[in-house]
Amino acid sequence: MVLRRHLGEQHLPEQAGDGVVLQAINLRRRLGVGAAAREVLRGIDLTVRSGEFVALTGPSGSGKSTLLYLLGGLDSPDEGEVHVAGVPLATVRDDDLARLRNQLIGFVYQFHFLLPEFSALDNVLMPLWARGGGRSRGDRAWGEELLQRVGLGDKLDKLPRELSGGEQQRVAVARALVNRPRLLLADEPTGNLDSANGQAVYELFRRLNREQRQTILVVTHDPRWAAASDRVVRLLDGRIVADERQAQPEVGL
Amino acid sequence: MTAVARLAWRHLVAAPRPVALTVAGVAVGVAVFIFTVAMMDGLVIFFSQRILRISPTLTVLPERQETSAARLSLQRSAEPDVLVLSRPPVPDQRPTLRGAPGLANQLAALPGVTGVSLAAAAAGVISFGTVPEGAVVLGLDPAAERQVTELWRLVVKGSWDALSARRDGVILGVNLAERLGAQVGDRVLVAGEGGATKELEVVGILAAGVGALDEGTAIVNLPVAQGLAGWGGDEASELRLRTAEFLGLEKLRRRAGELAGYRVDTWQESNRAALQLFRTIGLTTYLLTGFVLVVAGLGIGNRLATMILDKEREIAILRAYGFSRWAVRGVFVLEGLLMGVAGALAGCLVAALVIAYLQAFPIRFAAREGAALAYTELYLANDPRYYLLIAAVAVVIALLAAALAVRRAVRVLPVEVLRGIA
Repeated sequence: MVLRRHLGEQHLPEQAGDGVVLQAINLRRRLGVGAAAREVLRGIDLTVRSGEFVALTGPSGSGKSTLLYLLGGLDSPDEGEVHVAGVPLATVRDDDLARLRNQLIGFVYQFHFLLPEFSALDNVLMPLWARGGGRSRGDRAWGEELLQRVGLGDKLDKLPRELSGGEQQRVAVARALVNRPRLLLADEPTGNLDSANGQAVYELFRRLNREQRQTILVVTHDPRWAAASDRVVRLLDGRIVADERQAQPEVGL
Repeated sequence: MTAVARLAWRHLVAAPRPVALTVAGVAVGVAVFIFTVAMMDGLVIFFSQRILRISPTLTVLPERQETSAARLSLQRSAEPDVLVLSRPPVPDQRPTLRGAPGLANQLAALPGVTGVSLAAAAAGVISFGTVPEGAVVLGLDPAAERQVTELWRLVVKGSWDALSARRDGVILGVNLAERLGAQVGDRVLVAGEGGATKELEVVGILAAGVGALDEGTAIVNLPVAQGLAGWGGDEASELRLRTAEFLGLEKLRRRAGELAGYRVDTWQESNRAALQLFRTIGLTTYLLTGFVLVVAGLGIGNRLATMILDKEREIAILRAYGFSRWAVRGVFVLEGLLMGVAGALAGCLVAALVIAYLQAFPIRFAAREGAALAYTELYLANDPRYYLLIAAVAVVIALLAAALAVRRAVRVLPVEVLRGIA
């Protein structure tokens, strides 16, 4: 039980001693079958350190989302390794991997994927439910605080259908943060939002990174997001073609 | 409430109409099954009660225990469709119980025995005018028989007690009397196997609703039957016993057998064919009705399969956020369980109400005149065990259906769903 060894509640690993939260080593991934099969990732090496805000950019079909799913433990590479907080994901069984995702990683997707039958607050608390929590007064207070931080303090009990697209996505961001993840992964989080709501989500990410040193990896093909991050990793045809650090990221979109 | 329970509950309340339909399907299946069992058991109880009115609970037969044991042993080793019979009596060995009155006294002293009656049954011919009819001439002691069966209640014309009063009286089965054209007060001529004849007066007509009694039996006083058969006064063809209990007679049967040295049958054995028929009908009915429950279970499986298909995105996101396969499986199995339990409870309630109503206001059928065994009303048994057992079966079927349906849910790969939508 690798995860139990690595991830017992009392023994969650800190990031590797050198501050590495995420490491990908020579990742390769083929998608499709038969004649339609193609190699989407062709040997990706990537290291993300604690507190970094990384933008993963590239044209459609360059392999950004596929890479994100591999890094988040939602998919397995055909070759190569992914380490999250020092844990080699290939050694972790399926259900333990689910627990690892729960405890170490927060996800924000292009689509919010909120559970329609549950209130905004319940949706935020959902990752806590997965580990048997979410019912204590402290947990609920934390969920409420997160919703307040994303500007939805007055919409705790609203169902997803009663919220706008931007509000739904902000609930999804709060949900991704509720377990205080080491790593926040986002797949085009403003892709479905208008510019005002996109701006709000961006500012939220920026603030999380600045104020709480939240490690963030965002997949985007929006150059404005890229310009605002610490580091921009560009993918083309399944390979990293550029990995640039920005000394002075832009502060607004 | 745990996360699994909360998710399951919200899924159900979010789709009240299809869930209600599914639950109603289970409820109907459970109610129909309970009602059918109540009806079939009621039928068996109804007929058992009536059989017990006209049959002794234990019957001592003129077959020595040794013979009986040997016959049973042969029967056990024989092919199922081979019937092993005792050796026919040689001419000087009549098939009768010798010393029957003394034996009757001994048996009457057994604890649990409430009445003993001697019977002498032999073939005979009854003639009225120019009409002769073959019949079983059944000799009984009318007073003793009253302690054993309720045949005396089934005399529809004349009276049972007239047989006690008139030594040369005869009570005819209703159909036999009809064929002969004889009425109460008419005199008939009865001839025994050995050629002995006796003129008897019809003192009653018996309508039991049982072919053997109504069609071809003439009840006479015991000495008359013995005389017609050429038997001695201490001989009988059977000893008829009434016991305080109707069930669990094995011990008493064994004691009576040991005491008498003859074969002793319980009333269930004497009426094995009829009871076996009921059991077979019951089993067939249960199997057919059981399909209703299985269909209801399929309804649950179908509902869950649809729900799982609708919720693939949610399942993917739950898995992505750390819900294990077991937790996801648990959500949908719990939904199946809740629907099964709700359906079972509703079905039990409906069945209880319908049964209570039909017990209070029974459906009655027209019966043949005087037929004691006729099924004259929809007789429903009611036992809490029906409800417990059938509800448990329904819940198990619901769980099985859910377990089959959720296989798809746990096969959902979050990345495939999320990639498909992204």
